[in-house]
Amino acid sequence: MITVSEERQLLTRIAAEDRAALSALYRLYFHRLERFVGRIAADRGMVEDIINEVFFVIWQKAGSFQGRSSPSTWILGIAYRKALKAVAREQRFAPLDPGLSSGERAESLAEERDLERLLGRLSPEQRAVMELTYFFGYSYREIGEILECPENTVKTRMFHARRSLREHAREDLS
Amino acid sequence: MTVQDREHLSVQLLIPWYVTGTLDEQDMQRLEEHLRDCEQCRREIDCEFDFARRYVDASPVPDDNEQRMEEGLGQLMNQLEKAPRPDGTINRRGWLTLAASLLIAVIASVWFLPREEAQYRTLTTAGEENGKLVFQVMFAPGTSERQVRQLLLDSGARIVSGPSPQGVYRVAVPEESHKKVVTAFLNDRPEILLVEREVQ
Repeated sequence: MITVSEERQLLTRIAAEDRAALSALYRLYFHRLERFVGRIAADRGMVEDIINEVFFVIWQKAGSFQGRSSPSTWILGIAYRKALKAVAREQRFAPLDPGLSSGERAESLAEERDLERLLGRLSPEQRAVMELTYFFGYSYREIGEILECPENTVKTRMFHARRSLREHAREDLS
Repeated sequence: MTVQDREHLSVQLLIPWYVTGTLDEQDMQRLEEHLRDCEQCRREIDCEFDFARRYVDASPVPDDNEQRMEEGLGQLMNQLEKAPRPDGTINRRGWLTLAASLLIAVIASVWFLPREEAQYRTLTTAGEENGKLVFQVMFAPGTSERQVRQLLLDSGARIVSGPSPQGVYRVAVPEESHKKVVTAFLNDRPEILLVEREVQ
């Protein structure tokens, strides 16, 4: 497990054009970004393109990272903006149906698919807040830094997202 | 909306982060105090715990993502080979490629152009000059101004103008310092990428 200080050192080395450091950071963040960007954007090809765009920015801008936020906040913020731009270009949201896999209990899998479908009806901004809260475990203050919006905006986006999910779930049942 | 309603709504907004354990102490105290008297929020928290668990369990990651990660990394490295940095500078390999290209272009122009009064000469060109000796010098990115000035002082050169937008300085040296300048500039100094002499 790498520490925040070690991540900062990687960024310092990347600022000095150390490609080994960039590769290390890429491997460290790929799965997290795949999950986060995948929640906001569309198909898998787009996700991987966005991840590479994020690291291209990191390569170019590592020298401007001043350490006021944590490296993960900075990187996820870049990923969020890149994902939103990609969504705006494609004007599509994440796929709604993850498909069946063998060995799964039908009931729990149906619940997961329902949730994915319901999440697909939220805006990218609302999905970003949910993902950063429930999967990544960030506080609402940290999410405000990542998404570059006020803390109250984070809270109200979450509130409206949760309300939308309940309303859509009720509509589906009726 | 009454004061109690506003407080109730304000606390409800905190529930997702209470469930994920990321509230600060002040928010935590405020919420727990509210929960003592609010059955609705206590029920909401039970639902929220269930939702948070379902959310994390949804969307498992596919098994082949290690290979895709390495493929993506390979593509990224290829992109970096081709692209300049957006601050206008070029990466180290790009500078060396540019410098080599310019040097080849200069040498080719000397070899293949008619032998008239050339505007520029390379350092290997012999001949006497009238007036001051002026060189165009390109320093490596990251060379500080202090290093530039020290190098020129060591060689007896004086900055005439620059740096240009391309990072080129024009420096002048007394004719008697010619050999010293040549030695300094050609002494495999890593700070110097390219040198050309011009005739005034």
